[in-house]
Amino acid sequence: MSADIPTQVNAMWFDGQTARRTEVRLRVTGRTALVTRVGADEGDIGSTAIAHVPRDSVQVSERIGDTPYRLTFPGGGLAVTSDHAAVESAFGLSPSEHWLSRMERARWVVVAALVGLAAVVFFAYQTLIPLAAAAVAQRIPREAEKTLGTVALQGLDRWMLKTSKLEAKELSAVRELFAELAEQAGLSGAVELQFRDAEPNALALPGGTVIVTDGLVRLFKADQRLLAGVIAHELGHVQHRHSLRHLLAGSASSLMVGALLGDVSGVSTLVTAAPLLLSTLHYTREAEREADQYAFDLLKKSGRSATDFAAAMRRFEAMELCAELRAKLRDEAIEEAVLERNAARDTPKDRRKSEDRTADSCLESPERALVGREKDIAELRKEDRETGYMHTHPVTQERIRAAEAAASR
Amino acid sequence: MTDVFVGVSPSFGARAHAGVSRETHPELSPATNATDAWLGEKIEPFKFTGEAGEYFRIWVVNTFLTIVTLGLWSPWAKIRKRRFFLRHTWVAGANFEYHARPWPIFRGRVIAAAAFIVYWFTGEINPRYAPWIALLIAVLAPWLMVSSLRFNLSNTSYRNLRFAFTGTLMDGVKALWPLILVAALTVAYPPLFDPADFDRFEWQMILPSLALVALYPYLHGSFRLLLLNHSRFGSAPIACTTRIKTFYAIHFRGLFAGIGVMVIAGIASAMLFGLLFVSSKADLGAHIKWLTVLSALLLSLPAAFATLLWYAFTRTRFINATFNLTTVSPTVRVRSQIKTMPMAKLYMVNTLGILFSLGLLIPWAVVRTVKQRVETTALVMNGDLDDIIADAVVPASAAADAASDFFSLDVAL
Repeated sequence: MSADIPTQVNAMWFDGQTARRTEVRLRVTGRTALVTRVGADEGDIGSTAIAHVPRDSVQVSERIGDTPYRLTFPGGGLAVTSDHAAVESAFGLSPSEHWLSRMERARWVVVAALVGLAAVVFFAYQTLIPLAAAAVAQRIPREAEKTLGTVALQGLDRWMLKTSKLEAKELSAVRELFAELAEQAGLSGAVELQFRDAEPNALALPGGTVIVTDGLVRLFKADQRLLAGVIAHELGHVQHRHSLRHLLAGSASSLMVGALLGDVSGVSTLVTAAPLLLSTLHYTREAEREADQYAFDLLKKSGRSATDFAAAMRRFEAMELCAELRAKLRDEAIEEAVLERNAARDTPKDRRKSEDRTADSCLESPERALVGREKDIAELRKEDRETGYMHTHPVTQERIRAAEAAASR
Repeated sequence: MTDVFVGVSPSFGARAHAGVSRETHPELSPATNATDAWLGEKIEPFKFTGEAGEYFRIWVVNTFLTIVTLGLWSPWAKIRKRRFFLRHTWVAGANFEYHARPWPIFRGRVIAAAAFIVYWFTGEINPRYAPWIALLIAVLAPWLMVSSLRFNLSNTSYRNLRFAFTGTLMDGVKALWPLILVAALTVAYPPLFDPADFDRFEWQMILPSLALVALYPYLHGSFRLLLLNHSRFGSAPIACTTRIKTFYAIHFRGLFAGIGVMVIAGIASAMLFGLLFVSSKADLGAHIKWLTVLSALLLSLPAAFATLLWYAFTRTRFINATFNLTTVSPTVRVRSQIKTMPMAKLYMVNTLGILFSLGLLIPWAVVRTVKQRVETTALVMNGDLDDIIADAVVPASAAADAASDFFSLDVAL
């Protein structure tokens, strides 16, 4: 650009003293910038000039998208213009003067940032957040979790659990087993066993309380091998501080979703809840796998075998399948009854069949209810596999296979 | 239409047009409020010139940088995004500017992060201490809010003139005392987690919630009035004459509207559920992997839409009620004509867009929301803006600016 031929830029002028808006024309040469009112006599520049300053004393704002340029003059005057090309040519700038503008304007950077964003979010959610949560959790003393565990148990006692109805003999047998496993795990001082009456299940609460339900003892017929498998798994949760890690990972995920959604207002909570739910479920499944792995090792260490865990899982799955089948049969029976009433037609053979099936208790002999229902079972398992991303636990079949693989090693 | 909740009209309007009856309650009826220009007045609508594609680039790059730096970039990202929005916002032939420097924002975020960590380790791990932490935050809230408002307003300019927030700590306390009261009540009557008498119901336990519900409209309104009544543009004092009872009226109506739309949403959900149930009988579902998620989503949509409709209702009423009674100077007032249904529709489309694009449409959603909000607002002027404000404004002192910059911070996380 020649220093003699000025570049002209149309702009709005604000003096910084008042709110007055003046339409001006900038004449920028290699050395100076001259601001004149539009419509002022072109021949009499000296007397109508609003500002006449060295070019380099004018500060040109960074370019953000297609927002106008702001030219700040010494003395506080401001020229605003959307004539990007003229400003860039007058001040020898490029639209990508600033490295950030350069990044935002380059298509490949935007695509890379988008891919990178997706990759980073995925990596954070898959690896970084669980790792960081584990590292932080190990540094928090176990005592800190105690209140959380007490509060959780109070809640459970109020809504879901009842006082155990097991006999003293059964209780002391499980207690002994628990004490032995805790000793082997090196967690003797950190854990405490509690019994409650509820559906077959075992829980590890924050602070190291493990709950074994009456249903579980009955389902396993007090079989020490199976109970050892489940208790070892719960000790794995305690050892790995899973409840604390869930809290930490949950907070980290919400911060990440917050960073992504930061400036959107008025979107439904569905938008934040859906990714958080999916990530939480992912973390609980990972925790279950980790606790399983811990159980395999502990069982081996205490002179047992990971097949005990597999056996426990098998029985547990049989119970679940039995319950699901029963629900299905009940629906079928209801449908049948409706059809019967509508068509006034009796099909005694079929009905006897469903009555047979539903007669078996899923707690006492779940396996018997499954005999001859292979097709239904396969269907239920397939459904489980396909909707795995919605479950808190990994698919039972997968856990059984992992246990068997660990046992044969 | 007669209404007990009559707002105080801007004095210039009342004096000049005492006979105009529709000025009586502009706060409550956005459709009929007196926002049309009177003779000799000029309407200058706000315009937003930003495009979704343009913002998409800025959003992607800066969000990426924020996440890979574990949030350290967020002050710079905030400035960049805010500049994009303010520079694209035009009224009366001029746009706005955001002047903040990153370090005060950084300082604010460090404080917020520290508070979050303290809250996490005491509140989340030990729920018994949570009310005390909440009380501490509530006691600090007026100072934090006043500092934040001061920072943000003094760093915003229009026509090369800065805005300013002149509210004191006392003004902040007057606006936000319900927060402190509710937090103190929660400390005095913790809602749960008392092992000794977990089963015993004590009516005091609901006191904090009752106080919050009763004082929420006050809090919502007084916070907005804190901003609108203690701000200046240059030397022109901004003023808003909306009364607190108007906010009660809005939330009261919002409550009924909310109950109404929720009932409708419940019916819609039930019908959808029936439809899904019938179609799953036809074995449609058995082989589709994502059907559980899709149907769960489908079933929760009516409630989500109802919530958004309610939100749009209270929000648009709130905006109109405050802006339509706001004056920037004796001859310039604000006019706001934001409407519930277009806003609700926008929110719903945004929600669906973000959900089904897996977040890719977030920048698009932000831009169209801002556009809708900006372009339903206008300035009504009795004369020329240039001349009106020119005489009234004194130059801002650079020293005062630097001092307020040092003592103020921006805490919004």
